[in-house]
Amino acid sequence: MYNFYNWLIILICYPFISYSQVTEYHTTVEVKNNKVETTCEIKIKINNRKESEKYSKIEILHSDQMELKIHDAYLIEGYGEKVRKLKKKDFLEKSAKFSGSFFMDYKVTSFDIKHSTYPYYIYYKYTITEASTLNYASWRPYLFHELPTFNATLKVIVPAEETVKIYNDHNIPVEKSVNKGEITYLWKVKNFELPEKESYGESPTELSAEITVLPENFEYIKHGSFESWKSIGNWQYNIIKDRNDLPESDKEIVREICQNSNSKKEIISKLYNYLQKNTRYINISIDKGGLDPYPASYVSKNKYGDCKALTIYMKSLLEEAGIESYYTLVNAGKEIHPINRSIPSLQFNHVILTVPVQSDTIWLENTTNILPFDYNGSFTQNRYGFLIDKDQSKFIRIPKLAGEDNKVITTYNFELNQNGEGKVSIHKTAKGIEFEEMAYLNSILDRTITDEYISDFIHLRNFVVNNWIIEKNSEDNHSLILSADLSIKKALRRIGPYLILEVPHYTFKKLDKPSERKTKLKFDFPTWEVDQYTYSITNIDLSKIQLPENKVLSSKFGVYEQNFRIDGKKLIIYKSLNVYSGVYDKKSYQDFYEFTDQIKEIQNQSIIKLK
Amino acid sequence: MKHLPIIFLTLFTINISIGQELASNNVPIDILKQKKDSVFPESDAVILFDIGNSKFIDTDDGYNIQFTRSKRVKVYTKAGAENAEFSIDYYVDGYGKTEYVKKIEVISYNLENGNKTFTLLDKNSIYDEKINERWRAKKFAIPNVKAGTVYDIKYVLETPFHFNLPDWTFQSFYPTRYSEYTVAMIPFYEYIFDSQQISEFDIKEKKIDDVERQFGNIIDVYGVNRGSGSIFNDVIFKFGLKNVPAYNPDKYISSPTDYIKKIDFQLSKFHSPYTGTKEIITTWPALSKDLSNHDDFGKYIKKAKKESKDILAKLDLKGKSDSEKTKIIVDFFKKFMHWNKFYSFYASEKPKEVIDNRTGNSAEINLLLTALLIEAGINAKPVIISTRNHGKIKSNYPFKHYFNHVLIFIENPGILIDGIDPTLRYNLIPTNSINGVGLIINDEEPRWLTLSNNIPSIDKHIFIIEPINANRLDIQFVNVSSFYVASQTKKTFDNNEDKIKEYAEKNGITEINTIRTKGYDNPDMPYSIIIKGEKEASTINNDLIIKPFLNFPLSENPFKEESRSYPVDFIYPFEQQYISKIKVPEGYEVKFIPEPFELSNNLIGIEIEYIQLANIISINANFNLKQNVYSPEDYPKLKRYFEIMIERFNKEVIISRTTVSEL
Repeated sequence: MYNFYNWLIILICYPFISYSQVTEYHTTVEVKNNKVETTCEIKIKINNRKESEKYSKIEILHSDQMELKIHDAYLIEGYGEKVRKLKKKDFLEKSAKFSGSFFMDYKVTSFDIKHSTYPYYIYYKYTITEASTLNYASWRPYLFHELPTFNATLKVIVPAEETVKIYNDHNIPVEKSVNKGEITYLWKVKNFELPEKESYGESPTELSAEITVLPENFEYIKHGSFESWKSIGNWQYNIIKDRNDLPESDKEIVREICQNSNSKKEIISKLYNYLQKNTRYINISIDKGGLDPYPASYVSKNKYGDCKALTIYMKSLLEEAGIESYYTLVNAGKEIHPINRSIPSLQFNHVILTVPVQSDTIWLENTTNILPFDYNGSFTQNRYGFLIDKDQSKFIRIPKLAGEDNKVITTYNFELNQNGEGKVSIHKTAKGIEFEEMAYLNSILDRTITDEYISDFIHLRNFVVNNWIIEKNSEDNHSLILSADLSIKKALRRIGPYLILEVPHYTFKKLDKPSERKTKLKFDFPTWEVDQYTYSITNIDLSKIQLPENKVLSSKFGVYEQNFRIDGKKLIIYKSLNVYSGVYDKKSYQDFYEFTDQIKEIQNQSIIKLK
Repeated sequence: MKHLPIIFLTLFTINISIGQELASNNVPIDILKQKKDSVFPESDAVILFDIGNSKFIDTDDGYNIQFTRSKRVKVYTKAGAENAEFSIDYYVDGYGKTEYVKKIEVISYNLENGNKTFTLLDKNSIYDEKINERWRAKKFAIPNVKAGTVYDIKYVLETPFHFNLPDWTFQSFYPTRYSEYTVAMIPFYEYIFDSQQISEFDIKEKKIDDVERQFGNIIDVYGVNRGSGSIFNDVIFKFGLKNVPAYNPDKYISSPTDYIKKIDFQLSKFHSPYTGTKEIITTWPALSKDLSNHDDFGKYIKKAKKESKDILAKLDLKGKSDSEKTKIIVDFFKKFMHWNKFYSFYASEKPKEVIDNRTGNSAEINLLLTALLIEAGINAKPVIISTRNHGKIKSNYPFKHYFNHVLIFIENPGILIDGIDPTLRYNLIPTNSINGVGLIINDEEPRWLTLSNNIPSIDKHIFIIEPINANRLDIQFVNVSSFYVASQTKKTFDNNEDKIKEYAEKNGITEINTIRTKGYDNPDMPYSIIIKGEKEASTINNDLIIKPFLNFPLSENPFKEESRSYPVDFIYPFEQQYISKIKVPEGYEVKFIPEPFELSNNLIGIEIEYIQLANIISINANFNLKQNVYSPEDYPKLKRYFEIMIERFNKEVIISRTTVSEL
């Protein structure tokens, strides 16, 4: 975490190269008469045609509950003259589309200011007014991730009698003034540039300075307060507590399942399967629907819903079975975004259900039809969820995927001639992320669609898949098995007089030199690949071959192993790379860099000369 | 014109059709129980029937077209349930006229404990989406859909725009057991239809409807009409296809709509009971004349005279020849304007607006450019075309929907111009515009023009490789490209250092020291990328294994199938040249150099030679695609030639250490 001075120094040291920049970015938030007016005044410098293709189209997102007024939008030529002012008909509006969402009542108003001489400036000013909001400001000193911002300010004007919570963990200096019953806060940041994300690094947006201004008390669906995590929990609890209006038909189904089950866990499992079989995920968000779950009857009737509705429905089914479960907010996704506990606010994007069973806990992901019961996958593992309960909402730790849970074991059996042509039979047992991907493919019956994607699971080249099948693993329902038969060419390389055999390398993302590294190392989940290659090659005398060295390279980041042996007429190569999950500070980067270098080096030297 | 309000009787009093039988509300339990489709057993969902019908109905403002659709889908798997969503597009012209979605009925049927149950779509669950200023959509998700469900969608769309009789697509993302479209024509509008990818309809009927209709004032005097109106019967056309396979657009990346089975209608004649028959467009000359006189086409060019004069005044054209003037004007206008990525042959904004905003669709840019050239005394004519991703012009009938773009033709010296792409020199049209033929629009007889390009583009890669120590190579690399390859390279990398770096790293220059480029802003020059860097050398024992061209040549054959039924189209002929010089350092000797190779015929030229002089190994390679299009008969040869090139251009040179001294 940077403190104020580090942060200032970094800013000053960023050179100002001549490329597009946001020269002015001023935000004013005015709270009055129960309305919140947010006004943005922006000026962007466009240096050349390429940049105008990227940055001259402005898009303003607004919900149907917000009123958007564009005060002004015009083109300023390089020497400062206002040349073209946009008219109402130049502003185009269309429905906003979010990926993964079926329908949301948001619109995008856009306009495009292009010119033929450079540089030129785009200026625009607009106000968005909303009657009811949970958030006065969530401000960062930049408009676009990729463009430096020269002069950014945030001004917040609130009535003196209103209590607000202000979070400013980068300690940007504030100017506070009081005038006629209003308090004005002003923050200024100059020359801000967001650094690029580094490989296996922290997210730059998370590290960037941010100012959050929240009303301490608010009316949004229900009365609530941002005073503490407890008060947030209670607000959410009050919203969801009356959402169980399960119809009689569903209650009947629950009763039947209970009668035919022998344990609590069995009931949960059967009810979860019922949910998976009969409902589907569709995200529709209207008005405050983004935070206000549809009741259980909605899912019962439509048999679809978003994560909130499906979770409420599942919770209601369990409640009918006499099983307690907890609506749990979480920030989901493969990349982990830790919750900043010092800022009690809504930092979540997803809901799951926490079900305590004796001394254990089961987490239910209610939006998937294809992942198994009690599977805690890459979407929600290794982070804190916020469990909602009356007066005792709390953070609970969702367990992380261990190396074993994300292990992929693949065996390849090659039968080749001396030209490197022949057949390969592959057997892959996948857990974790690859299991999740295979499960998706396995749910589609149509081979003309899935045939295209099977090659993605096979890390070879110059092959054709003759047939394949994905099957359940009878020993482990959190795993799937892919079997495939391939025809392959060029599996051996002829270099001059040599005949070379080289198996696929494990690779890492491109890494900067240690002296250039700026952020911590972050591995959100472990990876563990185990590969065994068995070769039968006609007319090659294996006894004459010099095998590469067996090696085990161990570090705090993980283990690399390679092992070569000859078994009768077969050459067997075993390789494995296990990288642990974890967060390491910048000082460890040099060690990691060397670790990856060594692995690359060892693999480069482990070429087998057959002739 | 006034006419009496008519009570409309249903059209379908004729024999019960297949469609009718299916579209009744009766969903048999057998269908609910079915576990897989008999004709398409591997489908996640199957459309059991999709039935559309269009007819003209009377309203106070004249005739509207009423389009009704009934669709029934059987879902077999969870994956099939994922797509149980639907969207109905409708058009709003902005002048008060609009299409209306009048009725939506959606029911899903399921089997619960052996009993048939149904769920209706709630009206509140139908959402209205604004696609853009003119198009809206009614969107909904079908409730209660899972493996086994059968659901019905029925809706009615009314449109006042009868120039566009609704088209019908017989294919969908899922296979269709039966697709049918019926059109009831009134005698006042005559349409011609065009079908695509349908060799033969399973059902094709034409009959006169039983029901009598009236137009205008009918005064019945002993069975004879004394009024000014007329009595008529609709003529009903029906088209049907059975067992239509699913349409997967990914298989046809170049022209996704070219292969879907569909039927389009175009208004050809208007028969007025008072003024007689008016031909809309039935011949190519009629089409050309119509466009020449159209406000958004021919007249648009004339309207832009003033703006053209203003722009030409900025340019220095005194004493220049026609071709010099053309080049100056085109180069200028390409940089002056931005294309908004919409293809059209009609302009929509006024010339002044387009120029003030520096933005236009493809017609606005090219029609204005035509106006500029004409004003400068150049004999320029617009040419309407269909771009590659829009499909081919298929028949002899002048359907407007075949076209989507307009180019400029200059008779003398016979060049084609497209103002939308500033990365190309003035007399080269973008590859997406090189598609079949175009129609030159003018006041005389319209002429067809073949669109093609035979200028080969060159892609040259130059390497200087020098080992710096036992396992490191110093690399100097230059890529010079011309014409279409240059344009493509500029578009791929945007002249962006990071993107070029990523590309070079992936192809073998693992550590980049410097990158610079030349010629990005000048389409008349080749485009050069110059890189200095290093890479780790591959070694076997003490031998250095060096690929003369690193990983830049193709390493995997893009042609995987054994045979092909349609041609391979590279769009433009091109030549790849590779030149490499490897320095053999002190204490090293050449251990192995691959054999040279040469092959040349009318299809291809492949050549690679190795020359050793003093301590430099020079390797020169050429891969020359002599044609732009290769026939399916030549495909196996083409596949093999690529195989040969890949093998030869990736062969390594081996240098081995003679002494153990340090470099």
